[in-house]
Amino acid sequence: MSYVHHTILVVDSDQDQAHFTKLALQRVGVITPVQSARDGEEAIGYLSGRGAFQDRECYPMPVLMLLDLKLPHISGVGLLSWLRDQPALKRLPVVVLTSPVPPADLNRAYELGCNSFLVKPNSFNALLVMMQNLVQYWLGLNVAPELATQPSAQEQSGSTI
Amino acid sequence: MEMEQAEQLYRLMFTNMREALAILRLDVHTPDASPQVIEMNPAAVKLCRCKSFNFKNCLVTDCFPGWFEADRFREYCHRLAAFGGSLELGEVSREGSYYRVRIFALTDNHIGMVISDCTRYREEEAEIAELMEKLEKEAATMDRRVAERTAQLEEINKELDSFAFSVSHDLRAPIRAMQAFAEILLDDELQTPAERNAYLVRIKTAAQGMDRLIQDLLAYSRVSRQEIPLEPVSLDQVVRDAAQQLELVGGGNPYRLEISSDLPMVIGHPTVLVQVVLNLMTNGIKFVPQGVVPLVRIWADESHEYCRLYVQDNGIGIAPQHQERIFKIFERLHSMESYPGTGVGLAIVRKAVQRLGGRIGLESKEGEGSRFWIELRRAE
Repeated sequence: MSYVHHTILVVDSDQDQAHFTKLALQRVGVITPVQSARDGEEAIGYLSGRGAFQDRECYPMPVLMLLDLKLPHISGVGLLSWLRDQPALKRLPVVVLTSPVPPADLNRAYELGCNSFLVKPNSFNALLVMMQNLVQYWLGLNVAPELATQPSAQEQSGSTI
Repeated sequence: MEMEQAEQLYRLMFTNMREALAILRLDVHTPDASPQVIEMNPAAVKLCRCKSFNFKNCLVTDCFPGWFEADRFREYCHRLAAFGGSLELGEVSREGSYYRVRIFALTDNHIGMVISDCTRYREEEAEIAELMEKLEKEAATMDRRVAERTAQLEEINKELDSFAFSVSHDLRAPIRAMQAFAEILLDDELQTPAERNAYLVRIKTAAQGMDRLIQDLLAYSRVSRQEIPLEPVSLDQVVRDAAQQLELVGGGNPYRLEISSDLPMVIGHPTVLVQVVLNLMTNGIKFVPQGVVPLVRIWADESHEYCRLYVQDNGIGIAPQHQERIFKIFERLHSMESYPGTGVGLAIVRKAVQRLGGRIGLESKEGEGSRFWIELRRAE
């Protein structure tokens, strides 16, 4: 099984970890280049199409975001909270893929509407198995929401005379 | 017992009582007349202010002037005489002593009066009240201290919790990296020699990063726990030593250091202070925009009792909302790639300055460099 039009955005400040995730995704059949952001600011830039990210040919809107909670500056939880406030982006499925965090952060992530919560395994082989499952489920079985590129009709309507 | 002897005994008893006793007579036919004193024991005589006590027509108000409110006293006496019973009249103070007065009915026109000196009792009571008050105050202080201690301990527990989490996270990250890179290298024959080499380099980098983190943690723990004897230290010497060490750890990247001459003597500990200044200098030359040659300036300000040592850089600066955060252990504002580090350096600095009895602070704006200061007591 290969996934051709499925852009995944990996947000991780640890470049080694981001590399493993990307490599694992490629190995389990994600042919579309996996995109990455090193911190919350870059992820916000990517998702809202600012600067270089305006070019949606090179930087397509993702269908899934893999989010590490341990980010400098804006935390993963902060990014999630921002995302769910964006009318055009709030439905984007987000899978938290993080090193162990205190229970408070885990609960907060769910409250802010993460769609799944995974803990990074130590071993690359275990990560491969995890990505295999993740891709099969989220890119295969799961029906993705529509991402409104423009404000939806309802939000546009407002009052008219 | 013979009547005569009994009477004698009663009289003796009456005369020898320490309490003042008096027998009053009421004229039941003239309710407006004040009770008259017809008998007193020696103790009562002592209190009596009457010029000549004649057991005939001496009024209570003459014998004990100002002790009682005449009308009310008379009314009480008449009521007791009519209905029986006894009555506490309360306390009266006279010439520094306190007396408690009780009256009771003897016959339908005689009233007994007992006056007991309660000065000592009152003093004791006051003493007890004072002690109680003290005790309550101490209990309140104790309660407050227990509450404060509890809050402190809870805070420390929370810090320890997050410390353990952060340590495990930051120590596991390189281990995970090493394991995963090794697995990829072992499993896969598809890589080019360049890729294999790059992976090996990253394993090495991860190991080095871990080593640095462990060293920093040990330094932090040393500075937190070890006994630090305070002594006069020359800041000149401290800054010179730190500058020398900076050359060794600087890794050959260019930087400029401007140190003002004759820095004062402070109270501190030489090795700890060198570590503090070195960490601040290292940060100063690390956090600069790409292509900028770091410039670190060091000078001191002296006030009456304290001395402030400033370490100013021309770096990227720190936004106000992060200025408190950066002193916490494992707090990093930047990704590893842009500015590598363990997130322990400033935590060591703050802990060390605290242990030296000083203060630390910073002034900074984003993009305009940072000015850290440490404040220490001056040596005489």
